[in-house]
Amino acid sequence: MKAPLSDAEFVKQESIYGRLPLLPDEREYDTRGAHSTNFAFAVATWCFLTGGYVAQYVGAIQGMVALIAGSVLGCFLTTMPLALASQRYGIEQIDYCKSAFGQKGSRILLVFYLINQLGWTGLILVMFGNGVRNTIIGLGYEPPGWIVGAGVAAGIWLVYLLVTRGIHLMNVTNEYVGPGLMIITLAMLILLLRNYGWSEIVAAEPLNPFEDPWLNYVIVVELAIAGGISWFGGVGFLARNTRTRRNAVYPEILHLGLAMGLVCCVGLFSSLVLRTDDPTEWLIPIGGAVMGLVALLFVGVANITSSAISVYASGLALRHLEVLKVRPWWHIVFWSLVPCMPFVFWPAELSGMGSNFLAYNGTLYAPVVGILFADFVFIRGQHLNVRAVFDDDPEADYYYTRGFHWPALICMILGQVIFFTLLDPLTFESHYLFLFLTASLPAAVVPGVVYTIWLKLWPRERVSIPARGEGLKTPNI
Amino acid sequence: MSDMRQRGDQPGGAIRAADHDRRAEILREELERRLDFLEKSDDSVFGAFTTLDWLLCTLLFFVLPLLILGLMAL
Repeated sequence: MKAPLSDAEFVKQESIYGRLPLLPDEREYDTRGAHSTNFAFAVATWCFLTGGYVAQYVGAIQGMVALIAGSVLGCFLTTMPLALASQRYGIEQIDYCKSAFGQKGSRILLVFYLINQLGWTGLILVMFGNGVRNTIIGLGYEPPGWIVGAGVAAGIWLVYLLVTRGIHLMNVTNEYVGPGLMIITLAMLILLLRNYGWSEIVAAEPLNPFEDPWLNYVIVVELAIAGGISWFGGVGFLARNTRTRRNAVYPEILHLGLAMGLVCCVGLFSSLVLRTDDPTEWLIPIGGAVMGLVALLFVGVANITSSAISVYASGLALRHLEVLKVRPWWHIVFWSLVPCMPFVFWPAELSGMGSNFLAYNGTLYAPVVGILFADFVFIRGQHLNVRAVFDDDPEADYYYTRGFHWPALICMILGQVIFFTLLDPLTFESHYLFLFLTASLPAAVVPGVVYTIWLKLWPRERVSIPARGEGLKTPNI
Repeated sequence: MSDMRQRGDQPGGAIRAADHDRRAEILREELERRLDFLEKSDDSVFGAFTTLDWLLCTLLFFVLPLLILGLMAL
């Protein structure tokens, strides 16, 4: 039986795994730590998936440029406000969002956050199921049709076991998985260049493009920007643990933007020459029977650890909901995994919509990121009233109107309307303007500009400005 | 002895509720302490991020990618 935690241990746990603001001496990442952690986050199995999606539409050169430039750009937009605010005040991102969206309004973002995390988890688990199938084929057997779904179910069970056994086990496994995945990626790139050559990679046609080459290129730019923006769920968590502001910003953009774009290119090149967007199908042809099989097994393990990180982050986010605040951890993990169940029954159908899901991340997050950027930089001059973040009193600064900040919410809806007008993320039907503007950029910039003008013209009257040292009226910790 | 029996007879829920209340109080006090520190601390405690950093980030990570994406289109 576990001994009860001492008060000091309890406070420490709440600062690391809970919502207490982290003080500078509690933060783990110096410059080296920030770079290595961000790198480990960036190099994950979703890079191979993204590369495969891009291979559907464009060739190697266009894809490489779009992936790298687009993901850096998207990452810049999401990193600047989230990293700077989370680092300065030691708070995680949903808490930070209260300054712009209100105490209750920020819970809407929680829904977006969960859709993002669990969508990626489902897609990665299908990749795990495909890996199980291809491993059986690699061993010379013919697997039944249901094996992929069974693999997804087994993956869900393994993720549950890993996440319920705590962050330490996940950290230990990630210590090996991150570097191992990097070695596999480099080995695959070398073998790819040796076996096929750069000229063959460059000459390979996209897998399933639309008729208009320009449309294909802009779709890929859109997917890359959305990929960068979809780091929304991770940047605040990482920045909160860094000791200096530069360590919060530069490593995030360089690794989550630039390095991720580069690793996605390996997935793109492999998919183009081997004519499949499923990474588990190209590992054996590139690596050979033995090395390919080992790589496949390793990628399978990496899929489970990547999914575990997503589910763990989702579980922490669910702690914001009153009903789940005091539930046992395994309850939260269980309910986090339930939305992944459809992937057991329709793995091929749902994973076939992966590129649509990636574009949908842009729909969800681009307006939010634009508003947060405008709010933090142009309205608040990069300073928050951190006391108000933790105060649910109706007179507190960030409670706004019944917990919602309507200018931000209206601008968010405006951004989503703009996105859907320019691009339907499910069918990729697009407006003429999409070809020149993309969808994520205007969906981020326009709401940000409108929000700034709105609050400059009609600045909000503060109901209550708490004096320093004045106690919280209704703490929401 | 009677005190021990008394505590043993208490329903577990009541003990848990008392413990929960005490922990909530500790958490609130700790939060107040941390908020005081964060409010009183100068920005320099958290490292510099100057106008030059903003300029560099904007040029390298926003303007340059936009230019590259645009040039690729030509």
